[in-house]
Amino acid sequence: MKLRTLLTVAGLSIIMTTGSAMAKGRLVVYCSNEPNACQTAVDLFGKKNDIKVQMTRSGSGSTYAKILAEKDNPKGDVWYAGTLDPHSQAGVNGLLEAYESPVLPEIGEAFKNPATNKKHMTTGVYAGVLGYSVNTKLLAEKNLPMPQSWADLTKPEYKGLVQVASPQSSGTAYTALATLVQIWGEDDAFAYLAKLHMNVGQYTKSGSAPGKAAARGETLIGIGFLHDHAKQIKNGFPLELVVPTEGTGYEIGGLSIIKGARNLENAKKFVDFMLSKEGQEIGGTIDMFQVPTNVTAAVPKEAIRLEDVNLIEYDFVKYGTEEMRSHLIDRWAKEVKPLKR
Amino acid sequence: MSRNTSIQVTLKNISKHFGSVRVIDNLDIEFKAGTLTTLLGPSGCGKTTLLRLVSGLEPPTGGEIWFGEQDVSQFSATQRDVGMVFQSYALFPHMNVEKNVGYGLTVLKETKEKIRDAVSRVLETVNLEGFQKRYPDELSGGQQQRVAVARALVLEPKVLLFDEPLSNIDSKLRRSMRDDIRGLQQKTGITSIYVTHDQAEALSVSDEVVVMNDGAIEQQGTPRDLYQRPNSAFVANFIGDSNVVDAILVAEEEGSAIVLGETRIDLEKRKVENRPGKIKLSLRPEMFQLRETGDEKKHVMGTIAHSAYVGAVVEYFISTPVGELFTTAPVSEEQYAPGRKVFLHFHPDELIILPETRG
Amino acid sequence: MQVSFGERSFRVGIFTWAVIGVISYWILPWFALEYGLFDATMDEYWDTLGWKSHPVSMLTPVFLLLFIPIGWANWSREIQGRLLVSLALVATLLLAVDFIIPGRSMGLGTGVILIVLAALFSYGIARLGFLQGDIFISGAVTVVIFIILVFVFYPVLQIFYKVAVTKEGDFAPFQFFNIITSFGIGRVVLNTLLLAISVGVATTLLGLLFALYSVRATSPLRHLMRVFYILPIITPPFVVGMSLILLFGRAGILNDVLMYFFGSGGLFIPEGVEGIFERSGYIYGFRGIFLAQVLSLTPVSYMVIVGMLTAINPAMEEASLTMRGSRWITLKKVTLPLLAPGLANAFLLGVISSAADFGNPLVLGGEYDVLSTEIYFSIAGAQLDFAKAAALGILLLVLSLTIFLIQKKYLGKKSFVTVTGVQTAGNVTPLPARLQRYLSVFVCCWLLLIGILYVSIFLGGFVKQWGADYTLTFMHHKELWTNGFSSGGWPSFMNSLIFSFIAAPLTAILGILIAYILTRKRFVGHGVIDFGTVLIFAVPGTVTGIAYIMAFNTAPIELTGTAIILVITMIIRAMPVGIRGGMSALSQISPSLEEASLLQRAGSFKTLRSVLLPLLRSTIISSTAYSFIRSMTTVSAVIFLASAGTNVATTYILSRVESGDNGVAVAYGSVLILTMLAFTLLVQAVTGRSRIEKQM
Repeated sequence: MKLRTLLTVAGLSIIMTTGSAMAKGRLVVYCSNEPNACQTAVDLFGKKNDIKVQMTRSGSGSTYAKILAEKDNPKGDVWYAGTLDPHSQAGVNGLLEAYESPVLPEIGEAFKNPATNKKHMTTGVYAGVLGYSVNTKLLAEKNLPMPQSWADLTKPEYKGLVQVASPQSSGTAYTALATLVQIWGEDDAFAYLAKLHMNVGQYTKSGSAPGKAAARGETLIGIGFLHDHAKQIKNGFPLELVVPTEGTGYEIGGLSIIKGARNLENAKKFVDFMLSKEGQEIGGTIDMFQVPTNVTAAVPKEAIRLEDVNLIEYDFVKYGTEEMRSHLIDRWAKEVKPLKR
Repeated sequence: MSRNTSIQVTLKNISKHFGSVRVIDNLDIEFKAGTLTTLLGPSGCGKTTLLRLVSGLEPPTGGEIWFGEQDVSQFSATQRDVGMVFQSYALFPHMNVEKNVGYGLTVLKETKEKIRDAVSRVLETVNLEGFQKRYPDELSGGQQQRVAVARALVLEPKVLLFDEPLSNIDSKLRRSMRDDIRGLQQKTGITSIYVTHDQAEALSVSDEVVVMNDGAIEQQGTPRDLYQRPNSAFVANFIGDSNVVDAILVAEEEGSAIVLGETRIDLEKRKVENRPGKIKLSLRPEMFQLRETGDEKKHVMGTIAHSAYVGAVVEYFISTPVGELFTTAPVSEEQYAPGRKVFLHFHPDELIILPETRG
Repeated sequence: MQVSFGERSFRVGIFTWAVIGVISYWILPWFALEYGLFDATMDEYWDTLGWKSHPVSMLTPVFLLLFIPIGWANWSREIQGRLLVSLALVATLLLAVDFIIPGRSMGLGTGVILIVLAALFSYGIARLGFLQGDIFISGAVTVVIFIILVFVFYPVLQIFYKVAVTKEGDFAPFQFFNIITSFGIGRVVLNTLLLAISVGVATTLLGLLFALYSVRATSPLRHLMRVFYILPIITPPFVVGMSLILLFGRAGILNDVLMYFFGSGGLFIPEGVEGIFERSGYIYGFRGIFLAQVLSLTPVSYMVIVGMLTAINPAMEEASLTMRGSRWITLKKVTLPLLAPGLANAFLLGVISSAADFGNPLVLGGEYDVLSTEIYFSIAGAQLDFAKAAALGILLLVLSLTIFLIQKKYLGKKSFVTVTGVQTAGNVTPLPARLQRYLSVFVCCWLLLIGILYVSIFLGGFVKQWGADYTLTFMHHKELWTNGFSSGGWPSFMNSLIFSFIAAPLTAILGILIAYILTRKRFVGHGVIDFGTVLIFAVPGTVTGIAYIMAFNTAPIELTGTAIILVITMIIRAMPVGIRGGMSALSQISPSLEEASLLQRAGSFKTLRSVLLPLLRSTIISSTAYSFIRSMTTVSAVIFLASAGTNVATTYILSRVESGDNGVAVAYGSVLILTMLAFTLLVQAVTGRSRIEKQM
């Protein structure tokens, strides 16, 4: 019995090895983007360079934790996408490798070296605008006015109809929290969040869930990055994107090489590719509507243009630190989350 | 591969404990070469455990098991060279008779022809020739039992073990089957151990009987020995029916006598090893003759308590000064109604005096 | 000196094993391949060979060759045995040290060498008289204990270890108490208990009603209850939750219908008047999980109670009837009390299954956090908090183990119903007529609900977007199945099939082996296996998941991300099926059959092969089939362990649910259900009887 199992395993391994053993090199990508976006980018890069790419997809928070856990014996080479803060944090903690890509001159100023420690460990690979989307079908059914601002969301008529992720589990939600703090100052922001809490039907675990719920009519209003929501409109859902009038924050998608990468050269190639015009335009082809950071790349027509909206001066350095992060999240968990509604 | 030398099976200081339960404790026993010895006892006395110790299916907690000159204590059942007939026969339901009987030979990798011949030879000895292709569920209980015997015999084992082989067979067939087993054993001369709780079966089938109780041996001997000279009340009661009563032994110059209630029985020349004083007697039911007349000094007097007609004999329960006694009388003799006064006549030589150390 | 048959096979055995070990040392990887065995290039493979890159490992073949002369020497059994055992132990220890100290991971070859050492160890203990010197059973016991130590005890111990160290690796003995007393945890525990107990009560009650109906009613409707056997087996646990969203979600059918009639501008609402109905998300949270779990767990309690009910001797009820007890009184005073242990059993089963359920709370939970999802989000969310996951895992484990032990201790043997195997005469007492009428209506509603649920799953895959756009379309199925075998649903589907196909027969065989060892053999170490099986039965899937992540993520045994860990997980998760199947089949085979075989000079391997396996054949088939189905539909443990390359059907579906692609998810779900249904029917056709049903 044991022998037979062994033969089976051996046989399977032969079947599965053939065809892949000829690649020139390897790359292990930790990807925090949408599964489809991860897969497309990785496939394209692998095919183009004849490199065998392994990709593991998980949220930016858990990817950070994974890299931290593996710091003595890194398994990943490059970390693609996910909000900037965990990238920054990883840079501060010495988990990343500095790299200045030759493509850098084509990258917008704000995205060249956005991370906290300013050591060129992370480059911005896309940008996304924070906001909320509204299900117009539900809105009509309920005969409610279209909200326009952050403040509108606390109106009693939207009670139970707002969805947002919990900052304890979602980077998106933390960006929203930090944005509000930067707009109004910390105490006012928390007073606002307490009021908003009364209208929140459900805090989701994942940052992209509220937009999807709004699209499907599971909630009226979903707070999140609008590029996620734009995709739902493309899919035919009755959504309207709202960039709040008070101004809003944005996220930068990070792209970093992991310190001790075993396939450093390929990792650099991957970074160059993802920053290039070609790499940046992948998003448009698969309905990913983030804004490219390469100024030469075409912006998808569904994407919101940074220059069209009222963006705040988001302080990635200040709000990217672990202290600030845990301070704000803890305060939210203690002061807002337990409130009865 | 035929073997005509039988071997003696010896258990030395053998023990078997299951957890804290001592089923068998420090027991010595010999099974003489070429004989059939029965282990007889009530259920739970350890007789089946003892059989399984001999077979190797159960490892002993302590002690040694010898087959002839060889210590087999460390041998597993597979290595011990024993054949066994199970209470449930344990025929393999998915094999036909030929495969069942020939199973052991295929294990030894014998050729097909050899197996076929050996199987048909052994089936002949159990009178089952022609049944090769039948499956166990197509056989009667008696036939299954004989297949089981054939299977146990086919490897010509050193020791043959029977674990209550007849308990699942109806009583009429049982009589002839036990004769068959007896005949087979005598023909092959294989040292055999036979477990049963049926004393009639034990007496009729064996050369020697070992009466067991509570994991210990009460008595070992020929059937006749055990019946006529039981050395404890337990044996007396277990082998045949018996009335065990208290009595007093008096030693006098001209010979001993026994005082049984108000009756005094002279033993005349019979030798008695017991010391004078309180003793126990075993009175077999068939030793009594019931008479209307008698001498109170010589014969035990009693009143019929109740009687039962059971076909060939009538059973009487008689109230006497030494307790209620059970006896039987042929239907041809005179019948006594309950309440009648009777005298119990018997021959002093037939009194069984139980040894003092036991019972 | 002449060498006996047994002696020769002993020598040949040792020789063969040693040679296998030496060969695998030379040709199989000593170290783990960084990118997995299946993806390795020739060069990488070459570099992992021990003699190539790690000279110290050359000791291994030397050690292995040492075994051969020991086996052939004419020493006493005792000396031989001791030498074999100590040499095997020393070699294993050295091997472990060689990997643990530098923190490197073992390769496949090392795995084989460990198996070889285990085999040689068993030769040693057999020589010393263990299990009466039976080499095969000694080997089986060694392997089973090895598996239990590595894949059951070690991971569970890792949970306890991880809860006692901080992220930085410092020892923190009170961390567990800090975590479980920290903010919010009490709520989670309470939620779990509240849900589990409510579900336990509800499923027991419903199970009883349905069982009474199917066994005692005269209505032909009762035959429909058969779906109770099949549906829960072939449906992945979270699919019920998904279909509930389709029906009762804010954008579900029910809301749509009610809106259509009673909402603002609805059919029954005059123009310009406020509607009297508004959409609501009532299905998320306790209500939704409760309903989903009741729907998917009632069949389990139903089967427990039906088993109990059919085992009641009708004579007892007939006795009550002859003593002027009406059918009602008989039911109340005789039947139900006789069923009490069965009811208690069904209740505890409901509680355990609810607490262990992961899929439904994940899909429907909303903000109603329970232990199983909380464990998942402690390591799958933004924070990778192993200590918290471990602490919560311990809570869930303790809960589940307690209930399991209560069940085993008080209900395992205690049963008022005597199963004699003798067909008892007498007819079952039918239900009181009025009760039967009410029940008929109720059963109809229930079956209708289940019918609608399943229809909605199948339809959901064919409409553009449930709740928004009901245009019929093949787009979801197209996306899944027509984009080639390397994208869409195929990779995960094929993975599921392959992994389950490998795992299922191993589960069945290992299950029977464990059942055989547990019921038929007594030996030192029996307790280890016994306790191991208790853990296998009682550890919830979520806990297995985190335990495996913690145990097999780093050297020396690094398996996460590989197919092997998924196969092993599937085996361990389906093992209760295998063991239970083996136990019940063995209990019907008299031990004297094996003894008869042993006395015919057959060793225990030959006995197993020639006597037991033929008799157990149908059990093996049904165990294999059922393990296969379970492996195909399992989610709670594999979700922690599946990675991009080893995604399986269930984890793929859940990831699509998470990213909101419900259409694709239900399309895939319905294909999975149909596949399982076809497979079940096929197996039933082959085995002739619906044995799978019996094994639930």
